[in-house]
Amino acid sequence: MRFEDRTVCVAASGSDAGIACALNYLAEGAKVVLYYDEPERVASLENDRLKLVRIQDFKDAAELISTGEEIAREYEKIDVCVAAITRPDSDKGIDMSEEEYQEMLKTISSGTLFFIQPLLKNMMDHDYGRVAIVMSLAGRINLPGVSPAYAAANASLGGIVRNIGSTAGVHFVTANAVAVGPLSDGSYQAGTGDVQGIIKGHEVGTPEDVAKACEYLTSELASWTTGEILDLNGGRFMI
Amino acid sequence: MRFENKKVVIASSGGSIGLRTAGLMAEEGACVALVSLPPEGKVSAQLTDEVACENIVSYTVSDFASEEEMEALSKKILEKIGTVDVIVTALIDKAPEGEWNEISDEDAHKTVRNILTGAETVLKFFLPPMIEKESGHVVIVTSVAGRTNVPGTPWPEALAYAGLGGVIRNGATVFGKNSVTFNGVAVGPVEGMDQPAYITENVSGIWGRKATGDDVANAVMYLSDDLSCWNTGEIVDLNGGFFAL
Amino acid sequence: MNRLINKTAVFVGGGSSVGSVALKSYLEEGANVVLVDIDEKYFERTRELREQYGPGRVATFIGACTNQADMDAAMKFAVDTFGKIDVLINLAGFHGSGHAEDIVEEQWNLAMDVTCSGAYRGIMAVLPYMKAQKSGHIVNFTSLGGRGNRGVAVSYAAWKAGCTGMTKAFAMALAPYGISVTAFAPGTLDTKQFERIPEKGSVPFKMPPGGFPGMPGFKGPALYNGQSVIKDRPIATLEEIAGALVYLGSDESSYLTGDCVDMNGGILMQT
Repeated sequence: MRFEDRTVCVAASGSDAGIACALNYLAEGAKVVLYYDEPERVASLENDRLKLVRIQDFKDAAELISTGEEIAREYEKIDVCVAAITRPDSDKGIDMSEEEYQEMLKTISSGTLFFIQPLLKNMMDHDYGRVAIVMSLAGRINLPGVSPAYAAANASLGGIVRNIGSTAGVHFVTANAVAVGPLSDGSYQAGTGDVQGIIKGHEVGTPEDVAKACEYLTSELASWTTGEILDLNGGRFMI
Repeated sequence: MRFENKKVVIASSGGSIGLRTAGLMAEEGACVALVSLPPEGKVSAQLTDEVACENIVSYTVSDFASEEEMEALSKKILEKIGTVDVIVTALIDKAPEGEWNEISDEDAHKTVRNILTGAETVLKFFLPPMIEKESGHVVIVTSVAGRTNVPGTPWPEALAYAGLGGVIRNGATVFGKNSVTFNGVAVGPVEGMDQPAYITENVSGIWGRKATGDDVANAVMYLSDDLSCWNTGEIVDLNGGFFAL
Repeated sequence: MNRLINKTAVFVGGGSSVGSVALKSYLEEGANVVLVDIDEKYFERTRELREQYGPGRVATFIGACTNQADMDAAMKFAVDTFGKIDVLINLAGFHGSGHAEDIVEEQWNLAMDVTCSGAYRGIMAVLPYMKAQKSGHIVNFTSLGGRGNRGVAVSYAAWKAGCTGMTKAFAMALAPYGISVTAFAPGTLDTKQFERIPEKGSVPFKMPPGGFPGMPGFKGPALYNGQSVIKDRPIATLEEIAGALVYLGSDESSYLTGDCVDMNGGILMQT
């Protein structure tokens, strides 16, 4: 029960990875607040220690900030914050319209930043926190068939992690990311090339794999790890 | 003339990278000592065909990792050119193919020795004049196989090329206080280099062609000209878009 | 001095300190250059130099990278003036002010719009010309601030990193057209030769308490990490930056694509 007495906020959008994280933290004894915008993903979830929070639009900074402030007031001390907000990459690549490009950046990157913002403030006030961000491998390395928008949005998450890691460390807050290859639920695609892992029998990652990696990065054992990106892609890319 | 009056020592396995780096730097005014593995005759012939050879003196060595040989050669070269401004190493090897547990200890050591120890030994005998005059550039050519996983890489090569990355970063850190920079170029397939199949077949670039000796030479020159004094510990990934970090 | 002979380059954000010094190097190496920026006052820095070389070699254009139509017009202007575009350097950037826990949306969005989307719009605008001629060099000026741990504003860290990631995707997509796309990420630059012009829309930036290792105003003990390893060399000179941009814009680097080339005195030695 590694997270007993901890309050964990998870944002899940576009993937089951966030859902798997929430379930994992619950199994480890935490109180979990799960932000979602896709009702079907959370339809079967129920637990005394789970609070479901419906977000209308992850691009709405004001909504994320006010929601986070409310949650922080209700729970008083937020310990862990995990962002698993993603969108499918477009197959239009460089022919994407600017609107589609902006939508991608604002959902994945701004959505992540403003979800974290009020919770991070609470963590810094309490001098303790763990931030974990789930991003795509496409933000780490050059892959064929990835749109510039998807690459930019995911790469910016790496920048956010390093920056929070650098500046919030004085308040004992760590920030790390998991850079995932394509997952079994079809999310976090990474271009049109061969990006399957090389581990026989486990070539494609699962949302549970992501949950375990996030668990590690946000646990007590990882308190000296910050600004780090953990590559979780079945060994297809080793950076 | 970007390298006017600069003294350059190039340690080469004998392929196009060493040759073209020598040639292009000589065209830019450098005085080059090109030290290669193949017999002198073969290198000279290639030089006549490919490069301006007035400013290039070629030497041969049978084993870059031999301290005895490198010490004697370095004395000879330094007597002739006086000091060193740029050191370039472009040492490759071809480990025997086979499963990881089929590579003999002897072969593994040989590969590591040829690639890694060789570079270190060159540095041991050519760095001191740079340290003494408190300026200089070291450029180490390594392989993409030392940067990331290339399918089919024999483990001694992965070890040695990654080791060169360590040499680059360590050299940068240790010798920064002597104003000597250490950088690298990590290459994929290159025309005119005798590279193993796993590189030529599995490092698929996006240009539809291999790098040329000139492509690599230009990157080496970028890292070693007068404007490169704030570049250190950096590896330029020049492998046709297979891996770019 | 002909490493860029017969080349035409467009600098978006060309009125910046970097652009102003790179202009000199590019002109000396034989290139024609179009400087694009949002206000005439930025071009004052290079008035003498531009007068020296004349309109046959260098021109200026007022346009904002936050507007696709402006970028399209800028590239058209460059082609109308000099016949073609061989090099695009995206120099425009906006820091933004604030950290993750307090940055306001406006600052975050402005940084995204200029630093990342600005480069995107510049690239989209130049593409028709570079695709048609089946060649071109695009250089995105990012920063160490996006690569490693630096006490910069979160908007700067995020969008410089975003731009670097975007560079890789564009590199993969544009290689079939013979266009190379690289990122260049230097550390802190020595811009004291220029009078500082505050970024449009910027608000004062607060360093974390006590400053940050390697950044000006740091009050802690000297640490290895976060500082240059080269003796007496804490920051880059603009001439060194310009030297890198010459390499990255010329045919010498035609095989290089997708890479983020660092220049940071050993502050960050990316594996």
